[in-house]
Amino acid sequence: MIKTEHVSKVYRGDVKALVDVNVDIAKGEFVFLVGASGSGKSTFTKILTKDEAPSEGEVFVAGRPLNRLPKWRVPYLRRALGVVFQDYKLLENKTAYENVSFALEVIGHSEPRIRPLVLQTLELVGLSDKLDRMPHELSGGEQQRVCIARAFVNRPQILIADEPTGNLDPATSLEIVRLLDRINRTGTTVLMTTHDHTIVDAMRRRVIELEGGHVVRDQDRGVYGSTD
Amino acid sequence: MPIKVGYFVREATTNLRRNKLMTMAAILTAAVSLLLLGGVLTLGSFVASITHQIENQVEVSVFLNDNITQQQQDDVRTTLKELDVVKKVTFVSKAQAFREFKSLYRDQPALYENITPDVLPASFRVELSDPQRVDVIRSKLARNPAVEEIADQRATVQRLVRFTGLLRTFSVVMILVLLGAAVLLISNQTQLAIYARRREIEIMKLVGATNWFVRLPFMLEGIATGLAGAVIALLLLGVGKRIARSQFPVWIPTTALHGVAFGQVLWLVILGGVVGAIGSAVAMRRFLEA
Repeated sequence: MIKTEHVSKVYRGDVKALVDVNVDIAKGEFVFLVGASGSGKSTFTKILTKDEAPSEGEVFVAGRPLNRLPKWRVPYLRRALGVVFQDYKLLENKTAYENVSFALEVIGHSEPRIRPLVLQTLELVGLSDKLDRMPHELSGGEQQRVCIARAFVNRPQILIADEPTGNLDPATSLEIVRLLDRINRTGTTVLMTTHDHTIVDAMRRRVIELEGGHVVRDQDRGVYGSTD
Repeated sequence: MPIKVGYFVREATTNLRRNKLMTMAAILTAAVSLLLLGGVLTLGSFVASITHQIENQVEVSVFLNDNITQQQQDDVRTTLKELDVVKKVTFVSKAQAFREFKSLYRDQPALYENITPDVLPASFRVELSDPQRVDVIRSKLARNPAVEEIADQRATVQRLVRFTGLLRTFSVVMILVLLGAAVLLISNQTQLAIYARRREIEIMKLVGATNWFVRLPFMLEGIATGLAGAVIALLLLGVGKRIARSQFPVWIPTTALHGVAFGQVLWLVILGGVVGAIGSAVAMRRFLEA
């Protein structure tokens, strides 16, 4: 589902964000991408969404070779991906329902198709009773649920969550990860970047660790810190 | 993909309302430049109709030398009558010429009191079926010893045409400058709209909205601004023509000033739309790159 071959990214000024990264994530996997700030996690996710292009190497996402993907096809790549952010990126002037329906509206779905999908997805994330709340009326955890609903409402093949628990307390963080786990069980591949030890240790899923742009660990059923 | 007309119209009008002043400046600049264009188009057809009228009235005078024989004079008349383009030939004697001269300048006796009929040359007045073909007469008679001079009013017409040509060139430069200003203002307006909606745009791109879906509302907004300018320009043009029409004496053909011609409406509307589209496209190129 996600595959990188010898991917490197060098920013201007010779900053090496990624060095020879080889990763192969199969359909339906749940993967933690861990590492300190500046280890290259964000660069990696940006390359997967084609916000950035690698300096070297090949990238395949949802069956698409990104290096050879023409610009006009990028929106269709993004429809196969759901992306969740640390800062939610919700529209402040829209309700929870509207924030989620917006994602379907702007890719051209018709109103009668949108409504049941949005309601169903908001129920999945546990917000059926807060459809008409504005983002500022919701807690951080609830806002992140809206963000996840927006990312998942189009039933993407891959869900990329970039530090989704970064702004949340431990209990809420665990709820969010459980939600991602539930989404993963529907067959969606989930890639979550984090530097939250407790969560990674509690979930016991595959862990890929980046350090200075290198993959230093790729371990099934791993924990956050190195086992030694 | 279904086309969501409601969505685009809603988005475009929201932005227009949000930046009222900017939008008004853009609309007015577009209106002024398009009004000027309408003026130039009108002037063009107006001058064309006047020129046409003058040209159709053109008579060619073939002035004869003094001291020519009756035979020579008859030869000239025969030559003229044999030409296809000549419709009518009238002989004007020295005495007749003097009478006309006197009646033409009856307000200024000083002009004719000191001359005698003898001074003015006799001439043939020639009406042409095609006023543009004066050259035919020239080529036939310019070397004829009986002929002193061949005169027509084309020089007058040409001066008029040259002057309006100059006026037109100047106006076209002004129009281009103003259209450029309109493009920049609309571009600025689009830029503000993009800025106001940068969060929405970010999300749209994130969830995979196509480029045209993101851009269309801005495009429509720009086009609507340009078209509003065109409508205002057309209204002002109509009023302006009505006023101008009453200023001209009856003998000047003012058909060009009756109403606003379909061609002019088309020009202004298309150009208004194009200016709006270019303006918003410029802003989008700079601020909406993927």
